[in-house]
Amino acid sequence: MHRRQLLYDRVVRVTHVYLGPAADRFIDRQIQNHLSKKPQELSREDLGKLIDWIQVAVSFLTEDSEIIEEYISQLGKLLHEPAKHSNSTP
Amino acid sequence: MLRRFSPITWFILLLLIAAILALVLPPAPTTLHTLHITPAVYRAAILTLILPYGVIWFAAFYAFDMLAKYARKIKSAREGEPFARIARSVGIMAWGLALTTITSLVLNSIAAQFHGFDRAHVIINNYIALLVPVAAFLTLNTGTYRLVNMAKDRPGRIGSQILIFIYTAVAVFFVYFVMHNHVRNNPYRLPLIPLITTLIIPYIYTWFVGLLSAYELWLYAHRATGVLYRHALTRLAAGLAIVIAAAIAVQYVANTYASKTNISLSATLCVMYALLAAQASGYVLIALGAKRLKMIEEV
Repeated sequence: MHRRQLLYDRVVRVTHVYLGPAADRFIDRQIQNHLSKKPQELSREDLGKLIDWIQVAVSFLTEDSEIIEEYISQLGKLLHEPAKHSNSTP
Repeated sequence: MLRRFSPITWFILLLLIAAILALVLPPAPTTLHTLHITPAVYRAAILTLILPYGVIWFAAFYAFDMLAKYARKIKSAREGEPFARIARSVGIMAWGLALTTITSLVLNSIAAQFHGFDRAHVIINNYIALLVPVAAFLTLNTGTYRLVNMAKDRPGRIGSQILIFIYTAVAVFFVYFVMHNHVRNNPYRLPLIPLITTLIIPYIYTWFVGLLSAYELWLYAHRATGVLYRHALTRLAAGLAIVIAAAIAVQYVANTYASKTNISLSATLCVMYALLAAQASGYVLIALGAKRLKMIEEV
């Protein structure tokens, strides 16, 4: 459970830089609405799809492509982090 | 039933009421004498004011609507209650704009019919005009104070000193102008002590609370985390600061400059239009900021 929360927390932490106090609510909505999962159930395999949905959602919030690219790039780094930080391990 | 009406529906109803009253009610002879105009010109002037008033009322009710919707979206969040209070204060300001105009039209008309009511209508109008910012700014401050406390942030030394300096100058000149008017022709129709204790002090206190609240919200917005969140919040804070500054300027002008009998109608209208335009732009900024914040909670 601890590891499962790690990935979710990391996604929220990255999002916090762009959406501040709305970050956890934003990520919760993306996971629940587009992945049909509970936020705590976010797995490493879901991350790519989640990032795609986040990109779509953030493009509604700003036209500044630099901010969108930077945000998505920061989230993308989570994809390439060592597996010990994600919840892909059983 | 009445609670089901949206703010925009209320805006339409209140504007219709104001327009009908402006056309139907007879103008006060003292107003006609002061402005050197006929009843027909007076009605035309009132109608030309109703149009920009309609724009500013719409902007205010729309801003209230957006902010209330945003506050409802985040009601379970930590910052939900403070934003609900801020939305309520914008609602009070929006309603205040409409109600002060409508009551003023009605009271002016009653005063035109019953000469004994002349003094009372001026006093009641002044107190109603005071009541709106008192209720709005105090409610606003309970929200902004909580936000700043939540962020564990306090106004900085330089910021506080600039605010105090500007405010002291504004307050001293206000007292000077009001006293000057009081000695000349007492447009407030109040003896000196009630004037000081029930109008001057409450106004000065309320304005300070309003400006402090605007500063606190700006501080919270400026130091908030989240690039997109901060951008939207800064818009909202800037809009609120403009609305508060313009509202204070309107009251300042109404209590000092506009009470002078040698001011022409066109000069009065120009000043009022400029202040209305400033207030409307402030409400538009609040609406845009709140709309963007709401969108962050929706996508």
